[in-house]
Amino acid sequence: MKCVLIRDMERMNPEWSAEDKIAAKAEGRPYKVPAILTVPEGTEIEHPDAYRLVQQGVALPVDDDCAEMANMTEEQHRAARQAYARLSKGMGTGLRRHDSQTVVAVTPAAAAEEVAAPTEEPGD
Amino acid sequence: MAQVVCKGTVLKQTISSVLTAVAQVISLEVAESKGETYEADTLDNSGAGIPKKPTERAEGGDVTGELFFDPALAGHQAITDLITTPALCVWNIVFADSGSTVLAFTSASVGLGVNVDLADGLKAPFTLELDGIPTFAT
Repeated sequence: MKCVLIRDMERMNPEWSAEDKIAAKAEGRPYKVPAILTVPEGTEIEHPDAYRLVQQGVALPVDDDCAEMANMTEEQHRAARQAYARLSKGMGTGLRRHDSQTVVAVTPAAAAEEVAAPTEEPGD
Repeated sequence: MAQVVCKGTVLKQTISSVLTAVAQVISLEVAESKGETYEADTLDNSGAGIPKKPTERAEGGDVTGELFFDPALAGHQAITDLITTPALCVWNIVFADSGSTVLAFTSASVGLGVNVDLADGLKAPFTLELDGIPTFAT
């Protein structure tokens, strides 16, 4: 399944190596490979757990499988986005799913619209 | 040199190859990583001290912590996913210093329990057993 990021995220750089960094330091030379890379907003991610990123409020579903697995209303996703914006700054907050109804209102079409015009997140 | 406050520290878990912040974390403890040694004593050692030498290996230990547990929260479900479907997972602890220094590590296994107490909120102690040692900012 596929989702699209709606904010810049990070990932570990697969080219980065702790062993290489230690070796470089021992040899007295700089190690210039960055440990963390930015995954820019708009990046599409295809992964079996892509719906988890949607539920976290950092992505929107691209396909129906992802939307169905995320199982969120637009209101719930908005709350998740706001909660994550605070959380990522070290201001921890919980996000309760409001109900258990299966309402798939966050659709791929809505995702496309929202990526085109991202909603402003307070304090982000 | 600075004394860094703990408030504002963020634990991040890799989900779908992206590092995402874990909500409602109360505390984190990165266990002492330690170089392994062996006793290098011999019968003809004239001193009382027991000599030791490095094996050139190091034990990474565990990262433990506690969080207010929300069983319906996607981020917490992503942690328990690693119990039901074990896999290596990359984590970051982003400190609240001016440079947002990162301690990166990989978990080989994840444990999470739940504490229900009338006089407290629902909490979950968790353990991340390290694969290798954490990446120190050296």
